[in-house]
Amino acid sequence: MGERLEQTARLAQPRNSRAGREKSRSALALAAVLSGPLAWLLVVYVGSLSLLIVSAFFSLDDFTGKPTNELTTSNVVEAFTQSEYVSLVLRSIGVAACATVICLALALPTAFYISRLASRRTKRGLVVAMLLPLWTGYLVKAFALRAVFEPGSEYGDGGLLKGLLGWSPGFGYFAVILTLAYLWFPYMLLPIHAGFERLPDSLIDASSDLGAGTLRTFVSVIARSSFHRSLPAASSPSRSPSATTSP
Amino acid sequence: MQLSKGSRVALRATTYLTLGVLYTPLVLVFVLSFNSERSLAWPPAGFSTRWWSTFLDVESAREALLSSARIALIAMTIAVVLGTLLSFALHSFTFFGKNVVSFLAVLPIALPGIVTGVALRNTFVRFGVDLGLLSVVVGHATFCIVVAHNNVIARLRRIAPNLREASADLGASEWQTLRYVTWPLIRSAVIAGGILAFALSFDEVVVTTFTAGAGIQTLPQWILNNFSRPNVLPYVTVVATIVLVISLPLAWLAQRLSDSHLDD
Repeated sequence: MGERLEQTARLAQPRNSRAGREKSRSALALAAVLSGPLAWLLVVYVGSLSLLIVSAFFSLDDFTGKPTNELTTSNVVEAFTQSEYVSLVLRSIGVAACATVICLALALPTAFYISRLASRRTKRGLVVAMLLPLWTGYLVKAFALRAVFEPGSEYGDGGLLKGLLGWSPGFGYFAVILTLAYLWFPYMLLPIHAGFERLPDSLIDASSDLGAGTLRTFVSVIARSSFHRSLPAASSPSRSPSATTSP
Repeated sequence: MQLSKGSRVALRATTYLTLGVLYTPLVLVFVLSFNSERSLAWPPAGFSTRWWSTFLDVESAREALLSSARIALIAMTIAVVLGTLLSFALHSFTFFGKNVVSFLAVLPIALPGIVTGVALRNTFVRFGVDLGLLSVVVGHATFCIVVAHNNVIARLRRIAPNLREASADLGASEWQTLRYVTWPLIRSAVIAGGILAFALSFDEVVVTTFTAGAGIQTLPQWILNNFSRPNVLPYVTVVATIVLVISLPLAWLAQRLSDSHLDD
């Protein structure tokens, strides 16, 4: 009995120490791959964000506009109470909401066609074609829409809309909203398309077997089950290139 | 689903109409860059290549193009190295706070660019860092890390673990497995991440505006500063077309590279 134990111990010993060595080696490897990116993100990014938040609570010198060492909450209070800041925020939200509605109204039918009706080949092509404009210059696209909306001035006779239709909304909220909808449309399309793709055919068949018409099926089955997928698109005002990198 | 012919046609029409609307302005800029007049008017007055033949003489545009390319290259290199390392850390190891780190990497792109821009500017100014090429590169690299990381970690997750096990069973050291098994499998994803990071940096406006000092101008900023100046307007269309012509094929290539499946 004792001999067997001793034997087991002898057998186990080298294995244990090897495991220990491996463990410390993997800790070393982890440190090697993680320290660089983590340090960058912590020092540059988290550091800056924290400093920014802290800065919000320090008063500015009235004269030079430079931060002082005096703690105050007046900056924060002002941002939430002064009418100019509040209306600025409301205006931004309004514009973003309008652009989102336009994107949604176009993305739902488009994504439905691409994911459900188009052939396999066309589907692939259409998805790529819809997403490609994401990767061209943001300002290039905005500039291009300027050429579309140009209402005509001393420098020219009006852009594409004016030239073709004889009418242009000109520059203003309407043009801004349409331009933003144009810029962010692919972000709305992609998640909705992914949602439709995952929707099982049987659900749609079941709906029509139960007597639902096209509209009813769309609202109660398709839109409802894909709705939560369109939320991230609607709520992401900043660019999220992950949209084109994850298949 | 039983769809009437009418609604099928309507859906199809909406799709192709949307596609048309997406590409019309891009084609328009291309066409206008050959306009003989200094105007965005439609229809163009005539055909001319004079803006194309002379745009390299516009010093500010040339310099902006150069500094954009330089910034994008450096930011891309930093982002690819850090993003790839991060992917290995998050994929091959378990450690305390892993989810936090993974969230941290996505944060610079999840938060609006203006937050990143203002925060970095605030830091640079406080610590007396000159606003110039370096500060822009730091800003760009920060939000580009996630692009490289997303591509590489998606690929790492798709590599069957038995490939690495087979390699180890055949006597390969960890380094040899990394060099001869893992690296060839992730290489195209690393390149795709690099291309996307480059494109993202090349195109960035908001963070650049806050982190660039007076001495440096990137291409998007050059467009921003010149689109309303009638004299330079034709060159803006030329530069915009160049950006389109370069970025569309690159984006397509990146898409192909990150899609290339291991199993087919």
